[in-house]
Amino acid sequence: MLSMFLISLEQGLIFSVLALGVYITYKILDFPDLSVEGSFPAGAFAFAKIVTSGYSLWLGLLGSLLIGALTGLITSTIFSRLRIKPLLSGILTLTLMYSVNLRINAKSNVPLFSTPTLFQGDIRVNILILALIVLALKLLMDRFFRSQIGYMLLATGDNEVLVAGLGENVDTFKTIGLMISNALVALSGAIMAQNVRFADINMGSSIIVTALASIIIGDTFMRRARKIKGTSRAIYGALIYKMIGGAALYLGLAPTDLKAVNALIVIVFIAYNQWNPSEWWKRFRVKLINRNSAKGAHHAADPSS
Amino acid sequence: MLQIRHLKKHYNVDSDNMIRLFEDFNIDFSKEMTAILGPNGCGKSTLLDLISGAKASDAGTIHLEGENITEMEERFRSKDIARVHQNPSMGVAPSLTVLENLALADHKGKTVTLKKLVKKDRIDFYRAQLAELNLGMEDKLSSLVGELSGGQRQSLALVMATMKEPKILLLDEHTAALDPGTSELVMEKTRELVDRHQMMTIMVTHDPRMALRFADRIVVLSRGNVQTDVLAGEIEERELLEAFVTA
Ligand SMILES: Nc1ncnc2c1ncn2[C@@H]1O[C@H](COP(=O)(O)OP(=O)(O)O)[C@@H](O)[C@H]1O
Ligand SMILES: [Mg+2]
Repeated sequence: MLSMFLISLEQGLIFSVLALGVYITYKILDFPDLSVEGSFPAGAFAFAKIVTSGYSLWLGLLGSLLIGALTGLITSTIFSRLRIKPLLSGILTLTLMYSVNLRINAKSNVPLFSTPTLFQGDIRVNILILALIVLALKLLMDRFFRSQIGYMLLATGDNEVLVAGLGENVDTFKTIGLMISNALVALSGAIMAQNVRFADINMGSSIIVTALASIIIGDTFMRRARKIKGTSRAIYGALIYKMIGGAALYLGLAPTDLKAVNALIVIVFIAYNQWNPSEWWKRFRVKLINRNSAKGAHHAADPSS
Repeated sequence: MLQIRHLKKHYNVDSDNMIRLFEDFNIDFSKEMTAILGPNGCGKSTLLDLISGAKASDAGTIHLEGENITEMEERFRSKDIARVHQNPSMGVAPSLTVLENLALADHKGKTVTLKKLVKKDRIDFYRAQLAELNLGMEDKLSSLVGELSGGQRQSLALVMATMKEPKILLLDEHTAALDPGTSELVMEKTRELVDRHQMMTIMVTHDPRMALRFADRIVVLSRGNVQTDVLAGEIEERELLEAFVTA
């Protein structure tokens, strides 16, 4: 039981880095970015390549950040230059990155046994190291979002017309957001690779669902706590999410069913957040009234004129 | 001085429902408050879009103080041209606080860096700007803008748009979404701001009485042309209503 808890905590901290990254695109920019499924393994493979070539841990982590930022830049370029929708832009990038990832080490699975790693052995120490990394990243992000660039990014997600009216190019801030987001996601992938001691081509698959689940769970549990920053919510969400998953496995869930459970968690939490009984009843009544009074009558109020 | 010459703008070109909005449109604006009236769909918003650069014209020129800005991108024009929209949420960032919104507006025209946006020594200035609105907003610096009323939000949008003293202020039915009382209040604040900053103001409105009360000059558009162009003091309400109805 305790070991299950510690493992969940460790995993949750690794996924916190992922959630912090996806928080920028999903919550702030309202940009559903699927390229994270490419940048997560890309971070792992770049790290693997660097450390298996004899370079240091820190260089490996830096390499993962850079390849992630590059992935974000690709998505942003496809999106802003070609005006391709966010979803398709992300899918194109992740498909592209699949081949790139295979190229990096010329294989689809790289074992990482005697290479440098953040994980020193004892899980408690590992958790402490991870917690410090997550805390540092969170504080850095909070500071970033108090900066001029950070606020422009927040405003871009909020109201592009305003940002354009301030004489700024909204695409610049979307690009910055996508690059930071994917850099964090790739870093998370590199840390995960050290944790499981290999980098694998499939480790990014449906990682977006994990990230969304973390963010949505964080928001749900902190719905009333307005003072809590989005970055903290993402971290709490990732931790709670991994605890739920860990508990499910502990209670006998087959690991092969985990993905279905992931998707269900997202669906259930979104449904819960959307379900507002009084609002639902109001709409239902309006529907009834409309059906009874104005049968077939169209009202043409054109808001654009 | 803003000079518009031979402006042409068509919509849905090469399709069955092509709209020939402006063929050869000419008008000058000077440092005063001009109200633009006209029936729905006569091209008032499009005119503002062409001036702000949100839309490109098909032909013709626009000169601001002698400089040809016809081909200039919207974001470069925005240094000189500020705009307040009909929807109170379009001029502000609703999920940020009043203070953060004002700091964003205050940063207009400067390069953005990793330095802090909100500068403590500017807070008194922001508070003074809000105090001049007389809406009690100077105590709401830390409120989320999304939680303000429509009138407060629109007043904030006005303060933000005019903070950096643009040469031109474009108002597109900016009180139409507000209730009558609030609408009048925001109009009064608008006029005060315009007088204080001495800005060329082009205000689209659907309300002839508001135009008479607050504007210096009144222009009625009809089918892509100027149908009436008078000083507000030189026209009776009845006359204007007639012009408005027949436009
Ligand atoms: N983006 C657009 N594409 C096609 N037609 C448009 C577009 N914008 C406006 N129009 C049309 O141009 C005409 C003028 O619109 P608009 O400038 O919004 O008028 P107003 O603001 O005076 O009501 C209307 O017939 C409108 O339907
Ligand atoms: Mg209009």
